[in-house]
Amino acid sequence: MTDFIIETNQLTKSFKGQPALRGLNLRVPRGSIFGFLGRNGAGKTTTIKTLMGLLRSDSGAARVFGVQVTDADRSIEVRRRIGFVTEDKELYPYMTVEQIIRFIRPLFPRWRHDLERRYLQMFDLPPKRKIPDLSKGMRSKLMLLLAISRGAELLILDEPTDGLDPAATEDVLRELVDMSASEGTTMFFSSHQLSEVEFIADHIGIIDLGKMVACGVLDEMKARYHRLQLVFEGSVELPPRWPDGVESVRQEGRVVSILVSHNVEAIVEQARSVPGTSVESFPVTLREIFLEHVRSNRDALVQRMVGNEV
Amino acid sequence: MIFRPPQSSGVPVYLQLIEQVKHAVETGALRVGDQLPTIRKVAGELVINPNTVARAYRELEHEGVLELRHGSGAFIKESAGGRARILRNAHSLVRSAIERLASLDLTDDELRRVLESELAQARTAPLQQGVAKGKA
Amino acid sequence: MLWYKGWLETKFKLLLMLVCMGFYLIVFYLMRTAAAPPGARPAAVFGLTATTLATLLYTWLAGAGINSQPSFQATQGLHGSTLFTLSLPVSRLRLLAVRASADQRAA
Repeated sequence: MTDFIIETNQLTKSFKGQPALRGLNLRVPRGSIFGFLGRNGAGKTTTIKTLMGLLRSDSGAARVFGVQVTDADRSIEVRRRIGFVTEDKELYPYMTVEQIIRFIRPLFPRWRHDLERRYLQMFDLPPKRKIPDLSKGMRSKLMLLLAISRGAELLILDEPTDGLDPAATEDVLRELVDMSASEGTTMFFSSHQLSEVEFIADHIGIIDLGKMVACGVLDEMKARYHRLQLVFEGSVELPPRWPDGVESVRQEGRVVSILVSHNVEAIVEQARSVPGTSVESFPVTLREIFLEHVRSNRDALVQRMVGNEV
Repeated sequence: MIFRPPQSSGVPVYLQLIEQVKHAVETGALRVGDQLPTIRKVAGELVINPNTVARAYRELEHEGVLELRHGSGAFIKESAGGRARILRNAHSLVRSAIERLASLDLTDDELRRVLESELAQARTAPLQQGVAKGKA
Repeated sequence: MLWYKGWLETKFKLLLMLVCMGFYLIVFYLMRTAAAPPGARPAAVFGLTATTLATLLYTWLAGAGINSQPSFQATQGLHGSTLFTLSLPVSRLRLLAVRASADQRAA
């Protein structure tokens, strides 16, 4: 039985009648680096706020460290084990870098002074500077320092590299990877930067329109997905029905491109049986997987809206 | 050994790492007894998930390319050197074959199909010879 | 700690409180000289009402802090550094209580 550090079950939440989460199911294994992907407005921040107990869902359940997020009595003990970076990276405008560290430190008995010193230097944060005088990138880094230095078992980061230049992004991601390797810290971070997620995450979850449309081990998903290319010598005649696993079929001239999510052997067999074609198989990038799921989800929604059953 | 940054090509990163190590052994960049950097170091330098590196190292150990000595690290194994020499030979043979076939102007697919069918025949030929001998 | 944060936050509120207290004192003094209640012990009454008003004032100011965080978006719900504060392992009640007493201490 895998140990899930975060678990949600049919999480539902609406704001003023507008649905933000529509039955979200999420499982984050302990020790993993989990990339939470989605378009802007898909529900990433709403999910994160719910996990942190900052929002109350309309229905469904969420558990962090096995504790219900609505459990007020145990919420403090849970929060002591979590490092959190908010979406807006807002901190107290009347404090300096030094002051906020001094303020946060005593709240966490497992504070890591070594990490605090390391990141102050690495992120080049001037201790006496007032927070509003820091650039957005510096504020992000400061928030990260506060989150990591508290010796947390779980980091929940809402777009941690937002606003950072490529070099700073690299620095931050490297530290996260190192933390995972040396301390075994679980990381749950949301992003719409697929390139950074692709390499550092071992698990991903794609959220679209408030629902989880794909979730699992990244390597396993990339092994399952294939792009098949059929090149027709003559006219294009496709079989009307395909085995389970075909996500999309697109034609351009004499080339037909098929995105397969699983069951590739059966589909290749069917493709090879089509007369007058050559079949080639290509690996699929995370970007393709993401775009396909997001697009098809939107198409499905539109279909439902116009009265067609999908 | 300096690993190259992974490509966002769809090929799983751990496979890319395995290929890099094997290629390094073939070209002689890595020799028998050479030590590879720790998983943590590789993950940090390339900024990739440590499990990915761990998986690549495990696979390479399974294939006999690496020897994981508990506590000391990952070392290129004896057999890897031998295999690499054989593979280098094979590479140059195939390279010259491709050059000679260039005049036929085959597509890549046709070339692959020819190779696969010849390979399949080569595997079954000894069997047929054995049957013929038995009958004679 | 929280006291530290409370102190940093209340430095300006301290001034406001002193002004309000001063204003109250002046008003009361003027009223007292104008119409002395028969048999009352002015000092004791003054002390009691002053404390009551002060506590009410502090609690109000303590609570006001959470909503006075600067926000430049007309967003629904929580915004600004409030999210960060609420994500800390401190109970809401304690935050309020410490802020209130920090205000009192500052004054």
